[in-house]
Amino acid sequence: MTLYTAMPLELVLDGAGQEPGPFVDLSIGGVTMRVLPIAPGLGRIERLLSAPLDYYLKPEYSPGQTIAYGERSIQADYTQTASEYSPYEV
Amino acid sequence: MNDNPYVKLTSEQPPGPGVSPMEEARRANAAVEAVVQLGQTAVPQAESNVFCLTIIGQVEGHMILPPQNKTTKYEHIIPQLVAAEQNPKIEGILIILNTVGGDVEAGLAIAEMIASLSKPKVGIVLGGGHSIGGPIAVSADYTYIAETATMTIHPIRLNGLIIGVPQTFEYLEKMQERVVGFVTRHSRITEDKFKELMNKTGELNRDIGTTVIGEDAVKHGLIDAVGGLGDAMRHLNQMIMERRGVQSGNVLGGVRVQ
Repeated sequence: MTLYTAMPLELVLDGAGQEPGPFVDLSIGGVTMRVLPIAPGLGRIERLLSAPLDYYLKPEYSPGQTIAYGERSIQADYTQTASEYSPYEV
Repeated sequence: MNDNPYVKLTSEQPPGPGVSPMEEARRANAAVEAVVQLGQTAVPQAESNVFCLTIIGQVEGHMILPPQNKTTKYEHIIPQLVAAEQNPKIEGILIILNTVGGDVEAGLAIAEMIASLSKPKVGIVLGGGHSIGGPIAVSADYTYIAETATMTIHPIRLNGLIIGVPQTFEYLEKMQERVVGFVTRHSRITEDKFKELMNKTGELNRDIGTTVIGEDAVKHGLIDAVGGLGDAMRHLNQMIMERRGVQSGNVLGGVRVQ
């Protein structure tokens, strides 16, 4: 990976050793997304793992948006970190 | 017999068990419900034929950057561009750029995707379009730069473990050539001029390279014109109208060519 940026790298990479997460993978209404829980039933979208194409054009499904889950969620797969997660695991 | 109109009204329109008509109407509105119950403020969007793509902060690629960075994630931008290309309601794409650079692979991937879109696309550089922001800026059909916006052009640096052999330099040259090649293919700047700006000394205090501001970027041929949102929208709408004309066969001033 090559970072080509005008910002000093020590600022960009500050805190890079801290693993992000733990993330929760959710499927809501046909959209599978990786979410960072911020409160019970509320999470911040990290990224969409799979979704119909038009969902990528909806601002409410863009990374960084808050989404309510819980009762609505069909399937929740708790993972420790992003690196440990494999979508192909049964 | 009861002549009280209030009682008559309530008996004719039963509101349901413990729910007033106003409450029912409010519950029917999903957007209001989301605000009341969940605190979400997703405002219903008006239909537009222009898709606005904003690229801000660091362009995030293969590695999740630490949370103090404001990032644009390329794995979201790529399907967005695919969706914009195939959605018949979207007729043009407006790219708003204010980035400090980021991952070379991700930045070039976004730039190549934008350049290969068949729909009209116009870019605006606001604030800054530094480093890998350069190729993204020139990838649109026509790009404006705000009068005060800057673009930093500087050489690529290698991160991580570097082996002190000549091949390392050759690899770096190849990586740089990708950026230089893309920018010169998609703008009016010559390769020699771009490399001259990239390797200039005495301009940046921590690096070699050049910062070009607004008018300078146009003068060097990197950007097409100095302008803002109004100019960009006007240009995009004009391109959309021209494309509609071509698609419907009206290529000669509104006269259908048979």
